[in-house]
Amino acid sequence: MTLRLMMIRIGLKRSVANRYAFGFYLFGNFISIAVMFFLWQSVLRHRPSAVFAETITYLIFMQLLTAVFPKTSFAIHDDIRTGNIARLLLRPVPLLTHYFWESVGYSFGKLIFIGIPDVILLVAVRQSALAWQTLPLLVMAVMLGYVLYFELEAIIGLFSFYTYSIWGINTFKAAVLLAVSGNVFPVNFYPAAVKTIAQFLPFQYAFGAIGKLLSQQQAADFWPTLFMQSLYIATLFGVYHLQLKIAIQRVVVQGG
Amino acid sequence: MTRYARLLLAYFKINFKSLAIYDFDFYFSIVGMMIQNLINVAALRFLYLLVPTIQGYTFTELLTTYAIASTSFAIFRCFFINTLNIADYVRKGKFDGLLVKPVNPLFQLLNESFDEDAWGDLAISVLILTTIAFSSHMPLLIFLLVLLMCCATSLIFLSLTLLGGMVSLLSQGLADLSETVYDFFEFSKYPLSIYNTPLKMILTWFLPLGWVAAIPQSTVIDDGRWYFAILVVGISVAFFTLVYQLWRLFLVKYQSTGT
Repeated sequence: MTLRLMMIRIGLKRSVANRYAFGFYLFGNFISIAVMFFLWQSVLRHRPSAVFAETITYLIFMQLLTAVFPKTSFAIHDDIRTGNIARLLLRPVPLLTHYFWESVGYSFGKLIFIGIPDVILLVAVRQSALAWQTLPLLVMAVMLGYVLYFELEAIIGLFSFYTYSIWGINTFKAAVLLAVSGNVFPVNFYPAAVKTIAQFLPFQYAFGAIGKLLSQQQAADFWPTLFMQSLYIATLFGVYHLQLKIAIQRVVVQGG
Repeated sequence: MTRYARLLLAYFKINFKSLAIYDFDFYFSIVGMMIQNLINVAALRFLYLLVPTIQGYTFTELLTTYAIASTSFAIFRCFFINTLNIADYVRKGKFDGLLVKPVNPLFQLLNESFDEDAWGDLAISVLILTTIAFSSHMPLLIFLLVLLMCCATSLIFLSLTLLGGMVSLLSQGLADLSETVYDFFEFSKYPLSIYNTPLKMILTWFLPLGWVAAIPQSTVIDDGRWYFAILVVGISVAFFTLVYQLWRLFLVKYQSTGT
């Protein structure tokens, strides 16, 4: 526990060191929200105002998740390129544990600098009150989404063992997320075919499916999403370990 | 001039060689960017499944605005992307190296690195633009003017990045606003009519992002007023010249980190 807390503290300190960058990230975040606001206002101008409010709440929430969720693939990539990976592999802490708890600390910092303004905006825009009885379930869904996304990032990061650069693979991941995760385009407005495909992929359970829960009032509506998230977390955990086992044999320390 | 052309060629060779180191990832990024661009188009199409027009704009019209903006932005990313690294250059002391060489520092900065995935983006953007031109029977002169405008308006993105980079020069690399160009690009992808009046004014006269795609589309393409292309090019060049003069002022005031 002490070790984990220490790793969280390291992540948090790193985030505080980047507070200027976060300030500008927040500026960019607000620009994206402004563009989405005007675009969806034009699209939904003939619909009831509640539909627009719900859509923009969803999109702000997605911006928040995108900002706070970890970018572990780049951390792994940097460690492989600089040779730090050799040092990390020698430590008596599993690689995944190290990256996870550090990223939790870093994300916590991001949540303070970027998340809180987004949450204030979200509460201001939202017309209906939050269902407080389902809030713990929503928090749980966000946490599971975080773990799920972290695993996806870790799997992508491991490709650096082969390619030494993952910008391309990350671009590819961004394209997939754009298409099926619902982090930019609300899942509710997907055409039926895309909606069906997205339902069977893990990406939506880190973003869109959580966003949909914002408008749910009944606890029963949360369980299918929480179940699917848990299922994907277990599956991706297995995939990560299998991939690490193979990738580790290819390790080439380039410097450091 | 000949010396700069020779230097440019040398930089191109080095940059392409450096990209080839990561061959698998290089191709992956090009394909990834192409897919991302196509998905953006699909997302626009999804919007039109909800409504027939957006502020009077049909799908083809909105797609044209998007294609012009993304072509301009892709040109910026292909040739001027290294301006995003000013903060990094300052922090590591590499910026001092640019200043002591007998070549324009901005020229060196622009050419020291390429963005590998932008080429796929550029290919798809031009392809979308060409498809629209064919399907809407756009006159060849207008199409060529659009391409010319895209080249010119990429200078607007370069100028915005330089403005952001100046914050890095001032803060000795601690602060960096240049990445916000990606967010500004979002503004340029849609017609100005979707924004409210103050924002429209800002995007036309303060941050000239409206001139990237929305104004060229409504004047040169829709109304056939080809002479507006001269105005678009003029405004882009004027904005860049203004920012470049400011950049030179900042270079004089620049203090090295001593790294």
